[in-house]
Amino acid sequence: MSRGQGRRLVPSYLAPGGSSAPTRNSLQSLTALIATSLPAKPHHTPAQQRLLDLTAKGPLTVAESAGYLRLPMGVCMMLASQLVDDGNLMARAPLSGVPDGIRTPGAGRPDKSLLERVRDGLLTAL
Amino acid sequence: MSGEAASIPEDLTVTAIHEVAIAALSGTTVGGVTAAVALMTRSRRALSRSRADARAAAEADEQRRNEALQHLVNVRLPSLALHLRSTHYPVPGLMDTGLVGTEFAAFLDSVQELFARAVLEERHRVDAAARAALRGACMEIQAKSYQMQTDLDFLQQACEDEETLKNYFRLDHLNEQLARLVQKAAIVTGSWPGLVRPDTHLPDLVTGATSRLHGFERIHVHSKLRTDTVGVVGRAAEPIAVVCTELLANALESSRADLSVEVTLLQPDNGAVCIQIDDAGKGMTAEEANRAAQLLAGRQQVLLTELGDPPALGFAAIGQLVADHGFQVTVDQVSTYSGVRAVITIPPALVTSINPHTDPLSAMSPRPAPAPRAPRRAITTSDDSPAASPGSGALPQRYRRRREPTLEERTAPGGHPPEPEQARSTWDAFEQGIAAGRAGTPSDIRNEDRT
Repeated sequence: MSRGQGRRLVPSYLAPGGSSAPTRNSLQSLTALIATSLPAKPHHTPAQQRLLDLTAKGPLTVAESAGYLRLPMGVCMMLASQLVDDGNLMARAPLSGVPDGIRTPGAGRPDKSLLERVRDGLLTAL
Repeated sequence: MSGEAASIPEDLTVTAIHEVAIAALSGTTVGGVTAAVALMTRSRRALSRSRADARAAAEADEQRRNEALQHLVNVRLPSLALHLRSTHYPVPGLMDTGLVGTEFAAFLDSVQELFARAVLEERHRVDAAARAALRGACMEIQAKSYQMQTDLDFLQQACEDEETLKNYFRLDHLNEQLARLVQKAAIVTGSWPGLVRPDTHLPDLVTGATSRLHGFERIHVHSKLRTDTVGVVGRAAEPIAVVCTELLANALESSRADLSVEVTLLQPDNGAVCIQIDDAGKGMTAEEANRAAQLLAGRQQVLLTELGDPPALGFAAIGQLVADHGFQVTVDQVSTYSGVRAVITIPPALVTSINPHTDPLSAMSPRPAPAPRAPRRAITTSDDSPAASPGSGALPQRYRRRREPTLEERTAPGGHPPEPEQARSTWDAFEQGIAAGRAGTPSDIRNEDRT
């Protein structure tokens, strides 16, 4: 997006492919995206291919991919849902009420006391 | 006609003088006095007649001058005015060739020169005033348009609803098109591009240029750059984006709505970087190409009045930027699709290197094409090939090792059908499996039975 304090050069509307049908709109920022190893198609935009490249290395949440691609969250969701429709990505809903632990889907609900200990450990390390 | 009229009185005068001379000679002869007197009176008459003739000649001369002056006012100056507008109108010279080289003709010429200078000066003054007015208006609109861009960008950052986001996208795109039109007009009227960018990745510049056009979906950008560090120095970044936008706009306009425009980023060996734009349109006529080449060279001051109605500003804007920044633009080549190939050549002085880790390429820009890959499997001497045994005298031969087709290749539509033997064994195994299932005996036992 806007690099440094300069004026924006590449707008976000280039990211999603052309006029797509409205998608299910069921993705959330913590939905995990998993590549289906289906290769990118020629009509995919460079941004869609970048997202596929990213998720090819392992599952990633929508929020994380938005960060890596430097795209607004909503735009990244749009990209992801198009790719889910094309069959290049699978979406896995986040575990309810758990803010993290999504990187490995199906890892189960982490223990609250464990999270607190991790937090305390990090705070003392810093 | 007036020349003929002038020659007649002259002849009369000459004959009169001759008569007088003859009379004077004959007057010396004896007894010719009376005759001489008679002749004297006659010659006096002749003299007065010649004086009248001179007056007539002077009047004729004035008449000629008047006619030449009328010709200047009625014919020469109006056609000069037309000629100054468009050089293919001829400007006639003096109508009366008898006046050529006279002081009077020189006066007429100086009037003509003065007229031409006054017309040109006034034209430049009016054009400069028009440009200043347009420039002022355009720069203000441009500033507002950039504010709108910032606001829309901010809204997009926060929005997660797809429908709303699409509406923002539409507005954003419209605003970008508006900004481009205004910026182009501002540049033609002598303004600078209106913003300074930091050193910018070349693919980002080209991708950004596509975003300013209606129908950007038809533009395909291919990067054949060797690395993802190729950038353009800040001062030339926005100008090159503007030039690229205008050339792309031409390519889109001159080709049908279902034809794509191919953009290739190239890195020749001389350190320069090229943006090559190919369209499959109808091409340019020789006249258009000439006019374009003149404008693109950027050497002449362009008047708004010369750009047509509505003014075609694209090439004029490119010419301005080329003159200011020293990159090159050519549109005289024919593309592979028999349309126009436009090439922007960015000299090494305007190319820079950008660290892709601190300053990554935009996600929407094409990545550099991967280097040509080595073949996936090396060609080796196969172990199980019927290699010539040492001492047999035959030369050793190399065989391509057959590799198992991957799942993709086997399932790819339009791929090769399976080998007959492979198909037979697959089918065989299938039949065996079914038979074994029906008989209720394990297949391996049946296999053993068969063997």
